[in-house]
Amino acid sequence: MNNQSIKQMQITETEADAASVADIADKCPSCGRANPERKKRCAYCCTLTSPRERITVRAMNLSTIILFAAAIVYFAIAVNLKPQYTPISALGESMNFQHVRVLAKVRYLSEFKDKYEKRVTIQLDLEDSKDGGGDDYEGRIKLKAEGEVARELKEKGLLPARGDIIDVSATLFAGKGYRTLSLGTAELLKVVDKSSEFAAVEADVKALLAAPDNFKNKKIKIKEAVIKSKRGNLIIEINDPADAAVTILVFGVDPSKYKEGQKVSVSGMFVFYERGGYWEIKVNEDEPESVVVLN
Amino acid sequence: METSIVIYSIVASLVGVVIAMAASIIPGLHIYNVIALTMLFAFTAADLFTNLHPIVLTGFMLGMVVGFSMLFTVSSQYFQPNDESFRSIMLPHERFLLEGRAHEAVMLGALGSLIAIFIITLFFPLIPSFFSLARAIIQPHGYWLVGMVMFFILMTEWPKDHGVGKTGWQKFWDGWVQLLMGYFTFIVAGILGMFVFYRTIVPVENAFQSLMPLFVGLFAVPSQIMTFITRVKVPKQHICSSVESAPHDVMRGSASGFLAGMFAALVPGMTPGPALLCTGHLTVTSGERQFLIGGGVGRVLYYVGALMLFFMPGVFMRRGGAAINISLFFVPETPEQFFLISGIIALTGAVSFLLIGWFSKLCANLVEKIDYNWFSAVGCALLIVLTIQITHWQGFVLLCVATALGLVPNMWHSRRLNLLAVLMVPVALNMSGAGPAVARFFGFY
Repeated sequence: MNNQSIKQMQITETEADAASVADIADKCPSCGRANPERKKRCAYCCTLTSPRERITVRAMNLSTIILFAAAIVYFAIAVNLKPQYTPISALGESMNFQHVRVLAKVRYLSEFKDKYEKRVTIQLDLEDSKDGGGDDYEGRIKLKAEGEVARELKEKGLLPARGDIIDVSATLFAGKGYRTLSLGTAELLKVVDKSSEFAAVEADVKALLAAPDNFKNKKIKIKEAVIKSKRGNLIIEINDPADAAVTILVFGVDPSKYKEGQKVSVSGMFVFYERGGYWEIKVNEDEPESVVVLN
Repeated sequence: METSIVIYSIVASLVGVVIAMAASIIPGLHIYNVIALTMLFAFTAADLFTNLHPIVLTGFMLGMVVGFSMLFTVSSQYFQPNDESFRSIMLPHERFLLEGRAHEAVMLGALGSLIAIFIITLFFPLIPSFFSLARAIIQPHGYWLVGMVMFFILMTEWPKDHGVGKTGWQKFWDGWVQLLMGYFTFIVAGILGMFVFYRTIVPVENAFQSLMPLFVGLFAVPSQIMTFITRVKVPKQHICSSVESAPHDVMRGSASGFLAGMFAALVPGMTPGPALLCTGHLTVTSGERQFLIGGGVGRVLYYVGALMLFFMPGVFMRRGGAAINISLFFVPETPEQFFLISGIIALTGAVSFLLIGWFSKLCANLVEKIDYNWFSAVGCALLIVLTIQITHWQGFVLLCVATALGLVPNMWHSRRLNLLAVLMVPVALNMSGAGPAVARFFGFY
């Protein structure tokens, strides 16, 4: 290294020292006390007074922009994320205890209570919404909502009807020979498509019996009929308000709740009872508005 | 997920931050106490919440936890000075306050908190499988990990005064009294913890809050009492626009805080205090700045990071008081909920950070105008009323016992960390399977 370059280096170091002294503040930036001798460390709190070793609050505040941006991205994902559905046929023992999301069609819906009549359980029989599940076991599964969850489903009107397509997130319990889904929160069951195949067709008693094949195995709604008689524990006989001789049986009703002569509206499946050889309306009292008293 | 639910959750979380800030002005008032009160209100006024999606209430609680974890040290920083007799065990917070640079201490802790929020929101969502794996690995080893930490706490207790007595026996006593009181505190706190775990006297409907009177009594009330009797003059505080922190301070403090926060978040019975003690040694942390930054990182990772694991798909780990309370009314199940929660943490973290500077200036003004002893008196009274409200007179009895024990470290200058035996001893014993036998030995089971 020649003399000229050594001299140049010395000049550069002196400039740097001068620059660093210029950086030192008159007041300690940490405790605010005066630093008239412009020392590198505060005489009171020993803080380094050069700004090189310091992070400004402004810089920290600006860095929160990244967090705000991240928050917006996460919220956008939460709103737009396409749900990942698991086919019912894929729910197996290896997925035991996992939370799964299923898109399914409701086949049946039932409600029962424990032996002390306190804890309500709602059970939905589901089938794969894509291929209908058919009669094979793999395409069907039961979903249980118990206790508080069942109560919430009913009270908040979140219960689906037969044929509805539902989106449900639940815990799978699967072992040898059994598979059940358990619903943890009522809000995790949503009806995404109201059933069209189970939509009720409006008709009166006379029209039903005049052309029964037109209504066979369809959900029908009789807007007005009169209870003619009560039979056994599950059947009532209703007649057309205009013609008392035209009657039809309604199956699945607790007759003790009704009186003869009452006007009612009835919703249910119109089916042919082959053993008895007659047409009847099969209702499920758990479904809302299955039998409604009008007077 | 419906946009309305997201909007309601965001609003609820921001309200939670505001409430956390209001609660943070009282030093010693823990957010878990506020959450317990919220739960009590939510259960008694259930009709008000029937039409609200549970995730909205979850967002509210999350806002409170994030806000509190970042803001609660601010009031302690300003309103809890200690006198000269504590100089030997004085934490950096108190030294900064007496040197007029409490705001800098607050901002260093806030820097750590901000780093933790970055880690939680930008890094955690990328590694859910790590947490499943870590849980599977740690679960069978939890008892001896906690046991080793307890051993380390006892080993690192040291005499802080050096034989000032005149005679040989007096010098001997002065040398040993702090060690003995430290061990005494640890053992009695452990037995008290076993009693509450196995035979709590708190009424059964509030039994899930059994630990509340213990923590209030062991930590909060003695601090308030000591502050109330303190007569230190707090100097005028300087509001700085920058903090002294070299890159290696940030790196080392963050490393220590990250390890401590993760350790506390993943191991049952662990809290950031003892975890920081261990990881500080592990990462050779030195100096006040690294301590403050590490404390900020560890605290937020423990409170918020552990809570985030509760919502993480495939992990669903329930750790900490907030997760336990939320699990009473909400079960996280879908990835959309996880992304919503991540967004809420990022948003409330950023908002809380921006509030810290303002909140610190407010506290600096208050400490000049209002005697800090009054904050302690109000805080103490509020904590006692809250404890009685939530855990009834039985909880108050526990609180009195715990307060008597909590005063021991203050009187003899042993470490307060020993009091955490109240949680660590029963948890470690129960995880090892020896809990019932030990409880039977003491007649608790």
